[in-house]
Amino acid sequence: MRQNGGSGDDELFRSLYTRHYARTLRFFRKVFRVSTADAQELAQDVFVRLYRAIGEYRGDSEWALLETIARNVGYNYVRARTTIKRGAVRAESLDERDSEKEPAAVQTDPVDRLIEAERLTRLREAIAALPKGQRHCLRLWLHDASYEEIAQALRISIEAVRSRVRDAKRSLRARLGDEGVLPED
Amino acid sequence: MTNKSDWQEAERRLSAEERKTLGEPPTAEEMLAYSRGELSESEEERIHDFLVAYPDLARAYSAPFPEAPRESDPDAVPEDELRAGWSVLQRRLGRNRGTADPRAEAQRGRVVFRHYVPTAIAAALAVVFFALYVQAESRARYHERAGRLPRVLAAPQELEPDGNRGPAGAPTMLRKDGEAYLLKPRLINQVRHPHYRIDLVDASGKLLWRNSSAEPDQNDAFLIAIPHHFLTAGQTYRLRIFGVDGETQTEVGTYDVLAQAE
Repeated sequence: MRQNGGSGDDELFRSLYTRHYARTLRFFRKVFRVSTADAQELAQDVFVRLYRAIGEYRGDSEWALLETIARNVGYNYVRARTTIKRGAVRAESLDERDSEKEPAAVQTDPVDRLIEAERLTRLREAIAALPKGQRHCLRLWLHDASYEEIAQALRISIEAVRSRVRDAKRSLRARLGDEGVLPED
Repeated sequence: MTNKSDWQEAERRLSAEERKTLGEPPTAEEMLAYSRGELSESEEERIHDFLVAYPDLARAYSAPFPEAPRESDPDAVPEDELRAGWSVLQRRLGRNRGTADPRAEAQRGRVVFRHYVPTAIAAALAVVFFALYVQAESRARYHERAGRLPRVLAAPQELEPDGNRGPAGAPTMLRKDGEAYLLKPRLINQVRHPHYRIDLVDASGKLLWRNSSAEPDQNDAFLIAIPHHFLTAGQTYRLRIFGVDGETQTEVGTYDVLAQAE
């Protein structure tokens, strides 16, 4: 482990921890929708890495450094969870846990279940058939990402996102009729 | 009109299917290169596929950093929790064994020479410190070299859950072999859970370390390496293993251990 540079770094580290720990914790709760305990573990990982890196980045923006580390910890977390899931059962996003917590309305009648499954298949196929640009924007929008977040994720302009989501909604309506009408923002 | 929640359900199913064929999500280095615009067009398209199929990855990449919560916010961090987090952090960094004030810790070991210290004492101290420095450097170089070489790990120490071994309440004495305590706690007669969490707590119940992504091997055992410095010799600790299924957490095994006295 790289040692940091002494008491000056120690004080800076303590100060960063005091000022930004809650913010970092909030970030992980929001991004991964995990329990407080898991968010604490991730936040701890961030500060361990920060401690190791702090001496090398003196002079840079401390907050930018912390944000970069936090996002990297987030990427690793997604990757680690996917690897574990693959080893255990199958690939799964953290978001699937949300869907498990809040299951869709339970259809007890087998016929109702079949009709519901067929309807979801139609929606899924309609999304999959969209042109790539529209599809990507619409899918991130369905995950409740803002236009700004979608624009940043796909490295395109906000206007392009707005236009692609609008076109995607039109395409779905044209394909599925009333069933394909999506609510507005 | 179809509800947004139905569309979201259809989208979740589509993502789940795609994740089966996409392979592992990109590394942090790849994401950094993507954010800097250093990837080729085809590599960027691959990242897009992942961002769409793994919305948590997309959020980790693009979600704005939230402001610090105010004191009245529900997710504000109370002062005592902040202090407890600091203590855990210090332990993880291997710097501090429970010192509450990190500033005091920062001062530890600092040698202050004052101008009125007689020259002879200063010279004697300098010789002593120089000798210690040479010794420490030599040890550090040895450990650095050793860390780069292949090595055979000591056999792990198998741990039976409390209630399944010897006299009730007697902790297992940890052997100080190799570079770390290598422990293999086993689960006995437990149903399989989707996830497992391992906590290490001290005698007062204070959490020292946690892992939320542990997976048992085919014999229902976990392999854990705890650096020697992480545990205080002569102190008792408890490993607690939880089976996690969604929001439900069930304690499936506890293991009391005693770090061997020096």
